[in-house]
Amino acid sequence: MNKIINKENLKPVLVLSVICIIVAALMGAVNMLTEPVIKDRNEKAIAESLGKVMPGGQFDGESDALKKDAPETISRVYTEKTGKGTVVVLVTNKGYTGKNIGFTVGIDTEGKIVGMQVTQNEESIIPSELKPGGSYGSHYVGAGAKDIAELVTGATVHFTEGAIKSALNDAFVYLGFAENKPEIPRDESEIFALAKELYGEGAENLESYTPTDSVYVKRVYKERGKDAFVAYAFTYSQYGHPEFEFIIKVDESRKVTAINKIVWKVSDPKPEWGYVPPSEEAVDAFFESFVGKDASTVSSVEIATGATNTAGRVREAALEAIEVTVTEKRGPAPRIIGIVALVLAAGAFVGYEIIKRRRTSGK
Amino acid sequence: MNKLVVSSSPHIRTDSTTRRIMLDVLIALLPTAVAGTVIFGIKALWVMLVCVGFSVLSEFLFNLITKHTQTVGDLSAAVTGLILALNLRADAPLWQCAVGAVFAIIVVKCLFGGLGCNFANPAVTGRIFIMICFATTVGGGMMPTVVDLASSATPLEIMKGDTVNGLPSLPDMMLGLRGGAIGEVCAIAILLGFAYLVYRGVIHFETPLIFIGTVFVLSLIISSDLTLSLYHVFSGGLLFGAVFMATDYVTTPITRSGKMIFAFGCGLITVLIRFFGTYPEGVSFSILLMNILSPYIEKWTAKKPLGGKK
Amino acid sequence: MKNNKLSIVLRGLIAENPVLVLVLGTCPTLAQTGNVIAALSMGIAATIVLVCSNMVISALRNIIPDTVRIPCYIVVIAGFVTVVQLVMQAYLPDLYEMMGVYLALIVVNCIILGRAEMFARKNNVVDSALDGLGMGLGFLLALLVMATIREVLGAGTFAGIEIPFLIVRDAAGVVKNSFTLPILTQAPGGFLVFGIMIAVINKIGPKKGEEKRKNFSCEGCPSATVCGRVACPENTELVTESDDRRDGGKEEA
Repeated sequence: MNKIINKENLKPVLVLSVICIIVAALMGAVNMLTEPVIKDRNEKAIAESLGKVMPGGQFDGESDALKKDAPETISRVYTEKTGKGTVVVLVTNKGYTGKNIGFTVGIDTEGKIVGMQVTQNEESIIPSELKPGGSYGSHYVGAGAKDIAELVTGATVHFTEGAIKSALNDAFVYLGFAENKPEIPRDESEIFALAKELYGEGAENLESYTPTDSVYVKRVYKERGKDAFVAYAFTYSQYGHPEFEFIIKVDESRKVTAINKIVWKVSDPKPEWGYVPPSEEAVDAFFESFVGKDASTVSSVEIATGATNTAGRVREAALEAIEVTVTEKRGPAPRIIGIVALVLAAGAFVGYEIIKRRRTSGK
Repeated sequence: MNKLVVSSSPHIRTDSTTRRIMLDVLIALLPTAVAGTVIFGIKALWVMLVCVGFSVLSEFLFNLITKHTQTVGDLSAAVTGLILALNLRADAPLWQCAVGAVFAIIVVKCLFGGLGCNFANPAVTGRIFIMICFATTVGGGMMPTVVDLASSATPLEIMKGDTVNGLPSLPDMMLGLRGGAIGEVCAIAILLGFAYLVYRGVIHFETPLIFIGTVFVLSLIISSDLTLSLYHVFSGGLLFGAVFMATDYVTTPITRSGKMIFAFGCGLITVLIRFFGTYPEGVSFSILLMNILSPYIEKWTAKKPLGGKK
Repeated sequence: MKNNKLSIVLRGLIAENPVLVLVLGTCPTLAQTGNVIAALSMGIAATIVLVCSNMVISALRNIIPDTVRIPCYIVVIAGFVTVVQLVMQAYLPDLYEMMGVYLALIVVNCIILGRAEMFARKNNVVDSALDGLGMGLGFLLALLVMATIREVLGAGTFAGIEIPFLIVRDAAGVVKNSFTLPILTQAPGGFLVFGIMIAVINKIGPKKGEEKRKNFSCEGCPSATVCGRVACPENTELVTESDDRRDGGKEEA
């Protein structure tokens, strides 16, 4: 014990401790002087950026507590004090290079954007319009949750724009102006069963595919090697429920051979609109008249009366189904041939090397 | 008394000099260069002239300034310049081509000690440098001017979308009627060059064969699609890189099995980048990475001299 | 006396430039030379810390015992860096944002610790301050030169101001053509420019570089297996020098 605490060790420890205390005191003093300035500056910056996206708004610099299941893109939420709406600070990292992009958006009480500004961009490739403080946000003013998807801003980096729009959608959903709708409104196995029924013979070999760029057709059921298929199409109405769902069977020559309407739900018209919605029989007849049509003749299918907009969308969906293309899943045979070839070649190489080494070391 | 000359071996010499070998490579590159000019127009010729000119000029000036012996006469700078040019698009801005050529020769070759001391293929590194600096103007490929094509994407870009729709037919791919860099499109011209180089004994046939074969077999295994794999063999810079860039003497292993390992590694990395990476083309990167590994491959496969120590 | 004092300052500028000759403090050199403003801030901040810490350490040099000298130096340096950090955050927030984490990294900048170890603990306060000033200015100079090259050739701007013939804008102010090499503002370009600068300085500067080269042998270099120099027959100069050294030592029969 004595060996540790003796005169030789005491002095260095003492000196070091004294220096640490003095330096710590110095840093504390400077901190006391600069802290209020820093805090003030930060608050001013936040108030300024909030004011940019919600002009004339009053904020007290304190953000609201986030709801428990808030998506990770929502960083802070500020409720404007005079009831003008909410400002949401968003951060997304799904842009082109995966670095953070931060932006603030002001949304009024009716779900429309009143201002948007990019505040932070850590990406390594930044087009000039996406620089912090740039003019990118002005395109979004006045847009609501539904308008964002179609908005064309001319931004040159599309991946990043998709990430920004997706984060905006999160904000709308969080504030209650939009709902996260399920991708397909019906259970997959149910659709598969209906498709098998419609397809008829050979239904046990059906495989499901998801077309990549269609608006209405979300599933295609097809046998490998055959060209006939069953397509499932639907769309959501503006009220959040499916407007129509149907499955349609198309043969090798791209002609409709069968169709099965699953859902048709058009809202009942208000009396003052003064028109009669189509009857159940009229709707069924409309769907039936698709049978036998191909891509060129499908546009002639009409519904007897009313719901012309919905009928038009059904026609578009049917056309999309007739013309849909999917890449077939590949069989296992070529892969096995490849593996066998690789193993044989590797074996030949290793064998040749071993023989060579044995020959030289044997000599 | 007659003078007796005493000297050490070698006493029998072939006429194989660096210059002769480089000349053979230039001759082998000729069909590709001509095909490129025919398919892409006179712009291709300008790119080639600028690249070769600036390569030769930079090496000449460097040797002048640093008072080294002048090595421009061995034609290696010209070969580097031509290979670099054939890797670029025909409509690349000429100043960017010049910058790439200067970088390739001065930084990759001269600063490391000149021919024989460079750690990586100068043309490959130059091409990668240009691709990173000027991605928008030099990335991808230019469309041929001789024919009108339906789509404006190179075959590799189309295949990145995991489909064989919209690809030019295989005969078109072999003739070169597709988008891409100047030298990589015409498969027939490249194969002619390959045949000449093998006949002259300048390259061994193993490296290109194993490189291309690996790419074919691995893409067969990954995609299980015969057509796609065939297209992969003829797309991008694979044929050109395998024949002209993966056979460079300085940066590839000397030993035969080393060459085979090198070729396999190149093929593996190319396939990984093409299928799982974000770039549509992986040949340049794979050659560069394997260049860096070459000394270790050489050490590993070095032959022990007969009777030498273990 | 005056000559001596001046030579201390001047030595740090060129002959023993900390970045290009002593190759110290390379981390901020590579990271903060993407543009001139960042280089300027880093250079000035490092110089302030260097001068202050050199003075304090020199003043305390007889008090600090040998066994704990490194921790003491680091505490002093860290204290000064924190002070600079707080002041910047309060009064120069834009610069503070731009420097980011590299401001705090000045604590482990080899130049500061190196000069404290090599100079400040053996010399008086005034000399140490002058040495700190010289080294700091040399650091700043090297950073500025490198930042100028990287920003002008890499982004076409100087301190944020665009250079007209490198960036061509059309009538509406949209960039039409830019004759720049963007890779220079990124990491690989930084290494490239740094390496070329060291090569140039060692070639045209005072002969310190030559002596360094003669003292290193090829066998000891970690890149001996992959470098072409040892094997290149043209480079008789280097090969025979190390041969000389070998023969000068013990020789196996």
